[in-house]
Amino acid sequence: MITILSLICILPFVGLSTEKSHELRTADSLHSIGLTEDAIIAYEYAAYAAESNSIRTIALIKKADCLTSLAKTQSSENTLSRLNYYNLSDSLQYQARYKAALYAYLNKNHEESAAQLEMIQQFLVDSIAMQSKPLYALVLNELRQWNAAKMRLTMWNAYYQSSDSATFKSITEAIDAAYTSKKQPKYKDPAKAQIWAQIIPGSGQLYSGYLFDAAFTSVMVLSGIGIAAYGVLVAKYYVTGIIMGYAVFQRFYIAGQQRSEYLARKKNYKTKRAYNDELRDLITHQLK
Amino acid sequence: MKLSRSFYISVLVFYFMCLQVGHSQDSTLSFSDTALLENATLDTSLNTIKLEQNTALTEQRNELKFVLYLISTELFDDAQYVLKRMQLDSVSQTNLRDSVTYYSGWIQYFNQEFTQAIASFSSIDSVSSVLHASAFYNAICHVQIDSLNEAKRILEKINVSENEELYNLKLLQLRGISLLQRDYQSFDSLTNLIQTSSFLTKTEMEAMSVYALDMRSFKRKSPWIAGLLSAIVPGLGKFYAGYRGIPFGAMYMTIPLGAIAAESLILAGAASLQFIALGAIFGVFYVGNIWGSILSVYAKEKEFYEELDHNIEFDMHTPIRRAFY
Repeated sequence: MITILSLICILPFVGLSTEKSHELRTADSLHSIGLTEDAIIAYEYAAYAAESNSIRTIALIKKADCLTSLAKTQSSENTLSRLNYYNLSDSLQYQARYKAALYAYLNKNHEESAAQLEMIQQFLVDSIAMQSKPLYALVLNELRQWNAAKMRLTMWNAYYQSSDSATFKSITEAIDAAYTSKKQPKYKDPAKAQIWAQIIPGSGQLYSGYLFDAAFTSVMVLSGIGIAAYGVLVAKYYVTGIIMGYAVFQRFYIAGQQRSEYLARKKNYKTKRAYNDELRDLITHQLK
Repeated sequence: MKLSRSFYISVLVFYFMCLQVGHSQDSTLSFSDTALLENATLDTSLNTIKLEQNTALTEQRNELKFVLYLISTELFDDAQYVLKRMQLDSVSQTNLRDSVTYYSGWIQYFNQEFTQAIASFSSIDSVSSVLHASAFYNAICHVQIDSLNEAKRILEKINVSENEELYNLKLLQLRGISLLQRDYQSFDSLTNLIQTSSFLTKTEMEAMSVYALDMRSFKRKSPWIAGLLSAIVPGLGKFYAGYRGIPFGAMYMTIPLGAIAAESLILAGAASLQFIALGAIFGVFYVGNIWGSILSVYAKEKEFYEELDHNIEFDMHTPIRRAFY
């Protein structure tokens, strides 16, 4: 995560705007000597005292960066949600939106991140917007839009590596290999898992890929039926047999349905995580 | 020639005398100049001190304005950090110092740190411009920590007879406290003091009357009847107490156990170990259910008052924030 953060944070920015106020310089000084908490307040003060929206934006971006360095990424996202993008230069608008997207991504707020990145694609020229493609691909991966993510990465590769045909070819091959439809996770439908569990106890878990769970549920449900049958047919304790058998059957039958749904979701998450981690490694490797 | 020589000598002597006087005057002047200069230096240093004080005051005022901006942006942690950094000893003006303390208390109140907020609000000077606001907030903080008598004492000390809105706000707070203390007599006498309705408190004043009516009309169900009903049909006592979902849970557990125990009695006999064990389990659930039904009557009463208390406190907070946000 640190590698990805450093790569994604540093690469797209050659340098922030040179427009600075006295308050901003003071905040920068505090930040440079390690007084991060004081710097956070000073950046907020710079935003408060700013005479232009550009200075305000720069101050808030830097405040968000300080908050992130203190592992307060949620506060960073909240800080950048206060930005006003009106009348900003293209480069500053890019920096602001990119940071907003990055912190939203780090907070797993993928929809918000995708929205900011889409704004970059819509409102800014390709030469600027192209830098955000790798992050956009990461976000789209999380949103399970792998084909769209592949397209972004291909565009990014074509833009930056067109002069070096060997590198272009190797990256294209790596992207194609990673995003083949065979490798993309097949999703288990939680609703379908629940329906299977209703029809045949244990089959929902089996559908989700959990064999032990499926076997355990099947055994317990059958035990309930067995207790009832034994009570009625063998022991002649009709009431006791039916009640106890029903209690065991009902408990595991209902719980089995809920667990099937849960396990389908769990399986989906694990599959997605494993695949997306692999893709993330690929993207960060290509960024290097 | 003699005359001319003596004349020249006289002129020369006069000149030297003048020169001497001039020198002595010069030296006197220089002393007075030094004194003036010293005075001037002293005055300049005083001006510098005054200027520095003014600069410090302006800075503190600006910082307080910044705190207000932070509060309005809902950056309470940042505002608290700035207020802590503004050392109170260095704040020269009493009014400004009170404002710093007031905002510290306000943020503590907002962060639900009521004990610290009470300490802040209590230290406001008696002639401060934020005195009324801090007194109302102080009282509501005492309400939050269930120190109702102290809250009442603070409110009674607030002198707002000349301000109709704040007078109504004070009455509302006192009425709320009376309800929280279940002191209906005091509530009625405070209700009689309301002369005009104000926009600030109108809705909450009416709500308080409704709460009082609800409290007075509430009659606790009989725990004996609840127990008896549960003895006849398990769970029915809880239904009588006012619960709707829980009774079925009690039935679901107790009735099947009763059926199993009954079957065991019929098939194995009263002296069988099987019946004794199953009967004991059923007995525990049966008696527990009756006892639970008795307690459910008290629990329902507690729930009723807790909900009303919550609503009363909410309606006490809202107009204070409306008045002093």
